[in-house]
Parts: sequence; C-alpha cells; structure tokens
Amino acid sequence: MFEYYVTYMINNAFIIVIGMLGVYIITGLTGMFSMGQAAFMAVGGYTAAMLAKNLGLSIWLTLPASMIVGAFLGFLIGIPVIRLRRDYVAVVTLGFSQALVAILNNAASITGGALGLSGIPRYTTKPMIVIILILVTAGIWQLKKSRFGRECIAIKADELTAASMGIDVARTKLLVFILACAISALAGCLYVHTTSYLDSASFGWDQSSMWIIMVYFGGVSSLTGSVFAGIFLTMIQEIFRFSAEWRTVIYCVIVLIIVNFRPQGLFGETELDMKTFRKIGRAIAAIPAKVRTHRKREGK
Amino acid sequence: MKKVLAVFLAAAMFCLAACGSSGDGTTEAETGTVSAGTESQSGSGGDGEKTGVLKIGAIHDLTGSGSVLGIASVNGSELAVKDINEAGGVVIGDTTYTLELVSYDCKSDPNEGISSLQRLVQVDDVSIVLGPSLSNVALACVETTNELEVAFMGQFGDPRCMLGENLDTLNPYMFLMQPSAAQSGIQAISYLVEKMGCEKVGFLIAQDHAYCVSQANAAIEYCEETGVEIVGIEYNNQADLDMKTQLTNLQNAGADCIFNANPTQPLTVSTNQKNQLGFDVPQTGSLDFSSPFASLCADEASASNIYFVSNCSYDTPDFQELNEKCMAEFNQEATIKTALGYDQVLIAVAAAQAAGSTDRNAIRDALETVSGVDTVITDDFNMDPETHMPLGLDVFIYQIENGEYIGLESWSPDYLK
Amino acid sequence: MTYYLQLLVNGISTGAVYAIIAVGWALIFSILKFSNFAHGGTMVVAAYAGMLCTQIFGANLWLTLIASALIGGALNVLVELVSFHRIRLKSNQLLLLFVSAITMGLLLQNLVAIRFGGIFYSYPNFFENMNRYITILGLSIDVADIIMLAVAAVCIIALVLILKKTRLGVAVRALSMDTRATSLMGMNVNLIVLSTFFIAGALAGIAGVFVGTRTVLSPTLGSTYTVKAFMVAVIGGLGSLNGSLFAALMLGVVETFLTSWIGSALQPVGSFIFMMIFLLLFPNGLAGNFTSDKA
Repeated sequence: MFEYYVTYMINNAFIIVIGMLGVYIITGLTGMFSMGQAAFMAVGGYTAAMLAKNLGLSIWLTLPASMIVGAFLGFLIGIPVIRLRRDYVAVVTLGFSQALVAILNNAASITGGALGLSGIPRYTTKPMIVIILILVTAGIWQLKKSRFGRECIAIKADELTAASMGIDVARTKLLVFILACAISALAGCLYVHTTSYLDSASFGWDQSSMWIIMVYFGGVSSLTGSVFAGIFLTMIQEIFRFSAEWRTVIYCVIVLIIVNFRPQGLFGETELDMKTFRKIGRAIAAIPAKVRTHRKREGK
Repeated sequence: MKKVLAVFLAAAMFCLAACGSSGDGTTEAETGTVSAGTESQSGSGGDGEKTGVLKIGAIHDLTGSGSVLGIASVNGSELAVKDINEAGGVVIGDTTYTLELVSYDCKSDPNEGISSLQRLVQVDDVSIVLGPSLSNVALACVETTNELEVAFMGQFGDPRCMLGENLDTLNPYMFLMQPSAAQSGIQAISYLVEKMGCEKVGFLIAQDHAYCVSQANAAIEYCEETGVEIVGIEYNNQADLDMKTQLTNLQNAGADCIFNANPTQPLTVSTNQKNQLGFDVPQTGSLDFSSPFASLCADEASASNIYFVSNCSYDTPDFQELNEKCMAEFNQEATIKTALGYDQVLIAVAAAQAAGSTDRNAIRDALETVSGVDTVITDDFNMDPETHMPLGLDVFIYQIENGEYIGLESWSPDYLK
Repeated sequence: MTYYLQLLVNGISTGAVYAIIAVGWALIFSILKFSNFAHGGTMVVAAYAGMLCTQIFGANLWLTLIASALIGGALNVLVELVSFHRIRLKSNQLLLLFVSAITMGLLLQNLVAIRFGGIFYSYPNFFENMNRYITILGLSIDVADIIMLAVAAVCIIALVLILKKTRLGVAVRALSMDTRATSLMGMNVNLIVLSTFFIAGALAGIAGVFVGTRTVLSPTLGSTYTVKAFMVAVIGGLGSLNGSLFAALMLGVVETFLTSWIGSALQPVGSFIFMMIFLLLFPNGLAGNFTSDKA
C-alpha cells in the first residue's frame, strides 16, 4: 500500500510538479499568466518520443533535445506574448495549446494522431525523477534569490517602476518565458519515458489550469509552497480514487476553501527553508516553557 | 507567528492526508486477507465449505468525455456481479466465491489508466481487470500489464492493443471481448458497397477520437483494396457543432453514401445537419448509432437511411432481461455498453472457473482459450488464442428508418475471411 | 456564390451562440475585471435544467428558455456568493478570483457528470409541427438558428437598454469605472454585483438551451464554450459588450470559412494565427477601451 503511494508520487506527482514549476516561474516570478503551459509539456513529450522511437536515442540525448525544442517554441510564442497584458497572454497561450493539439492530431503519420505513439522506451527510474525534481527546484530557488530573480519580482510588483529602475522588462520576461517552457518540456520528456505512451488528449487547457490552481493553492510567492501543493493536490486525487466520480468534487471543494479563506495560499510567502524549520523548532521548544508558566499561573 | 501557523497548518493537512491513506490502507489490508488468491474457512457455517471473495477490477471513464459509455459499462458489470452473488456466488475449484467489483475512474487519460491498473493490482489485489472502450488508455497500459502480470480484458477496439505496433507480436496480457474497430469498420462499409450497391464513398472522421480513426482507416483500406471510389475524406473534431461545411463538400463531390466515424455527440449533430442539407444518401458507421441514438436526433427525418453493424441483437430475451434489470436498478435503459460490461464479468468468471483458481496468471492462461461462454451478446463466446480477440462473433446489420431500429440480417463479408 | 453565402449563414449562426455567452462574460469582466471561467459551468447546469423542464413539464421552447434563464441567473448568484464574494471583499486579488472561477467551473461540470453522466440527453424537437429547414435563395436555413438569432438580438438589445436607461444600468456602468467611488456614492455594490451575475447567468442559461438544441448534452460541453467565450471576449476588448458582440460573429464566420478552406482539422491553427495577427493590429481588442489593471 505504502509502496504503491510512493511509486505513484514519484512517477506522477513529481513529474506534474516539474511541469507546474514552469507555471510557477511565469506566474510567481513575473506575474504573467500562461493558460497553455501543458502544450509545452506535449512539445517536450513528442520530441523525446519521436527521437527515442525513431532514432533510438538515449534519455541523455532526448532530455536536452526536448528542452531545446521547448525553449525554441517558447521563444517563438514569447516574442508576441511579453508585450501583452495578463488576459491577452492567457488567451495567446491558450490558443497556442489548441493549435498545437490540432497539429498533433493532423500530422498523424509522424505523431500517431489520435491513436497516439506507443512502445516508447521506458528510461526513467525513480531516483532519476527525484534527483531531477530536486535539481530543478534548487535551480529555481537560486534563480529567485539571484539578481535576475529580484528583477523579475520587481516587474511583477510594478512594471513601470521596474522599467524606470533600468530593468529591461521585455528581455527579462522573454527569458523567464523561455526558461519556463524548457522546464515544462523537460517534464514532458520524463512523462513520456515513464508512461511509454503518448497522445495529444492529456495536454489540453484543463491540465494547464490545474497547474495554475496548484501554484495558487501553495502560495504564489512560495516556491516550496507550490511544490508542496502540487504533490498534495495530485496525491489527494489518488488517495480518493476509490470514491470514483466524487474525487474531483472533493478536490474542488478543498481548493475553494483554501482560496477563499487563505488567499495568500497555504504557505503564504513562507519558504520551507532552514529559517522556517528553526522557527518551528523554536516554537516547539517554547511549548514546555509556556506550559510551565501556564501551570504556574493556574497554581497561583 | 502567522507564517509559522501556516506551515503548521500545511503540515497538519499533509498528516491528515497521510492518515487518510494509511487508515484506508489498513482496511484494504484487512479485506485483502480474505480476497483474491486466498480463501478462508467460513467459521459460522461449520459445514466445511470454503468461501472466498473474487475481486474483479474495472477501469472506465466515469467523469471525462467518455463518461456515458464508461458509466453504462460499470452499471452492466455491477448488475452481473449482483446477479451472480444473488445466485449464491461462483464455485471455483472447491471454493465458493462471492464477487466484488472495484471500479476506478480514468478520465480517458492514459496516465490515469496506468495508475488505476497499478492500484487495482498492488493495493486491491484483484484477479483480473476489465477495461474501457478507450484504445489510448489500453495502449498505455500494455507495458504495465506485463510488469504486473494481470490480464486486462477490455472493449478497446484498436488491434494494436493486442498485437503490438506492427500487428505481429501478441501482448500476453491484453484481451479484447468485442469485434475490433478494424473489423467493424470493414463490416459496416462492405454492407453498403456489397449489398446496397454504393460506389462513391465519402468519409467523415473525428480525427481526435482513437476508435473512430482506426475504424475509418480500416474502411479506407477496404475501399482501396476492393477498388471502391473514395470521393472525399473530411475530418472534424469531437466538439464541433457545425459540420455542414464538411458535409457540403462531400455532397458536392457526389458521394452516394457516407461512412460517419464519430462518437455519439458529433454523430448526432452531423446526422441532423445532413438532413438539413437535404443530403439523402445512406449512412453507415459503428455502434454509436445504436440506441438511444435515434431518440437523440432532432427529428425522425434525420434518423433515417442509416445502416450500422452491431455485435448485439437487441431483440433477444437476454438483452430484454438485462434492460429490465437495468431499468429497475439504475432507472436507465440498457445500451450495448451495459451488455458489454455485463459480459465482461461473465467472461472473467468463466476464465476463473476454467483456471480453477483466482491466481492472476492462471486466469490469463485460461482466458486465452475460454470458450462457449453464454453471454448477453452471444450464446457462444470463444477467445482466439492467436489474436486475443473473440472468434467469429456474429454481427447484425441494423437499419434506422424514421427513428425506428429495424434488425436486417447477420452479416459477414468475404473480405474478412 | 451560394456556397459562400451558405458559409456566411452558417458562420453567423455559430457566432450567435458565441455572442450570447461572450456578452455575459464581458458583463462580468467589465465590473470585476477578471475572466469568469465558471461561466461555462453555469451554462451546462442551466442546459440540463432546461432539458429536465421539457421532460418533466413538457415545456415548449419559450418556457424552457425562461426557465433556463432564471435557473442560470440564480445559479450564477450562488456561484458569486460561494466562490467570489469573500475574495472580493477580503483581498480583491484578481488572480485569485480567476483561480476560484476555474475551480468552480470544474466543480459544476463534475456535479453534472455525477448526476447526469450515465446517459445521453437531448432536447426534444421543438419544431415538430413545422418544416424545420427552409430554403431561401438556395440557402438552407435552420428555423432554430433564426429563432436563436432573434432571441440573441432581443437579449442583447434588452441588455443595452438596461445598461443605458435604468438605475441599475447606470450603477453597473459606474461600478465598471470605479468600485470605491461607486460605494462612496451610497450605492450598494454587493447588490449591483449580484444583479450583474444574475443577468450574466440568465444569458448563459439561454445559451445553454440553444447549444442543447444543436447537439447532445454532455457535462463537458461547457469546456469548449468557455475557451471560445474567452477568445471572443479578448478579441472584442475585455469588458466591452459591443466589442464582444462583433468579435463573436467574426470568430464564428472566420471559423466556418477556415473549416471550408483548410479543413476542420487545422481550423484551430488558423484561428490562432488569425487571433495573433488581430492582437498585433489591435493590441487592446476591437473596442480598445481596456482599463489598465495591476494584477
């Protein structure tokens, strides 16, 4: 039982979280809004699948290849996107994901169309997925703390002010967009080498909007919060699998409660780093002292 | 302080979830001890008769775009389980088993399908898994069935599920219990060509639906090999609500019959619009034309001039009986999918009986050669060990005229022999 | 020539459905400045409710339309109270409203799937005793489409009149410019928001019936239209009623012509390119009165 959940968490939740981190850096760092991020996961997935299947390449080649293709498409879509405002970014990315699915269905001779691609080699191992997730998270963590990351957050807070401070808004946004697409494509590559099958139906806008829900559930300003939320929300659905059709309802209700009653997200701006752990430690250590003083007072 | 509180809250929620899962785990473990593969002495009876629980897993789309078909199938399977249990269970070897159906939702998503399959075997410890009418989910599950060593018997019509990418390798754990998409495509088009004398075929295909595409591909191949002229191939998406454009193109191309490979929803829309355009040529297609299709059409004039193949005759006493049970239990009319879901359980039980055990591999071996099963759709169900698809299922040609279903004849084209 | 005229007619009838949905969408955007992704969910629930009315009470088209509109409106008020009210009052973060809307849409869709997912439902034929398809100048026209166009036009004209002539309309327009100032003028902002949600929901309900008469009902029906309405609302200039109206008709016609020229298979690609070019030419949509907001 426990083993099954661990396997599920690594093979499903972790890969979804990597894809979601693409949304996190777009929305959490620059405040843009991508409704078609899952399409870039599809891009990565199909790149990896076709290379591995037709040319027999190993994962060490398909992984960078899918990231490069993802980044390139991110660049193409990014150029118009960065000049647009929030809802316009959402609609362009959404339109792109629709168009991509149509192309994938139409180019049936290469992509298998609705019949999908089967028999793709299974390259991933559990440790590999865990390590990649840690690497990606650590990378984004560093990015967030770097000068570049602070510039992004300045843009998110106020674009005009950021520009007047000498930040190249367009360039920064474009870089973030490209990076996000590369990360989502990476998730696609891992996905396809885990499931060994790929079709276009899994990458619609509902998947992208799930990712946005996850980011906000965990707290859009907290990286660890989003990662936690991604794992938590994916596992919730799996844990309630026995309740068949009710599980999505349960999921929605939990999300609605959090969004309504804790608008800053589960973690707010808190990161799950050493500082927080120390704080929790101190709070726990302080409990006996508090109890003592409480007893003393009661004694009096 | 607030931040710390938030982290605590998060931690608490996680613990809650973990507890939920582990609590769930213990109950599963408890039931697990009396389930598949193991049998327990019934203490109370004391007559020495052994009893056990035969767990059957099912994966269907219960909330996604294919939910109507999935729910009907699960309903059918539940009816079968209920019937068998009410009749006192099933005797396998020297043990009497009651059946338990564990069904999971896969939302038409391949990855969800794999997870469901793993959970059914690793957590619920089922003996056999019944599958959906979703070829993409089945294709994704092939590798997993080999790893888990569990038979996966479904309604997935794509022959690649059973026979691999190039139709030359047999996947040992994949089984189909209805005619494949390719067969039904050929049966449908050959009736129009050979019996009705149609010469110019127009295709309308839902390009984002796996079953429809593989069905249409087989029909196109049939036309090319037998020299029937294809005047046009038009594509649509499942969500389209306006197919007049495609139909007009086929009309202008001079098609004298239409092969409409679409799932129920776009099939209804296109049939209505075909009537609106006054494009009155015979239409054929798959099981999606079966009841309640005619009642979904806008009017009787639309639901006319349609010929389709069905592997089930709706007038048989078996089907009527199932329909009554379904109405009583779920207040819904039985469809072909209900019958298929019912039959899946019967075939699985027959395989378990033939195997004389609830062991997953034993059931798989027995399923390969299972024969003579009396099911709803046929009185004599036989599995072909060479292809893992049913042998020689009769198909019936049905005609829809003014909203009425008329059974015409059973049909087996020479092309398939 | 007739062929292209026929395409135009088909396109307009598709666009009319988009229009009713998108106008409701734009109405909510104009006052709350966020895209209400729960709109499709409301539409589907109202469509099923209308279908039940026809089955249980044998209601005719007009009664069904009224019933669906009322149910859609009431439901939308409920949606506002459950998923937007608290966020609006406490934090007023636009993106949270957006997330809440997506979740609510998903919730509605799944509740419908649980209740009605088992079998296909369709509306009865409302045009039993008449010839449903008429031919004018060689064009085949569905009477249902004509009625739909007429109803859509009446609804939208009524909406414009409400916005221009009534106190409520003035309040809604004031609210769309400045929430704070409006409440300082002594107006009950909550009441105005709820009324707006009711009107938008009623439009969604009417759209639900028309979508229902065109096809077979399914719980996922809303998803397709949510995407279309979003596109239309953006092309039209977010929050602009006239803009969305024209954009809806335009998108319907463009889609139909694209289907004819490059096929339905590649039509989303064509629509995407069309949208990109359009947004490059008119970065603020057709109406171009996009109120700048800081998310």
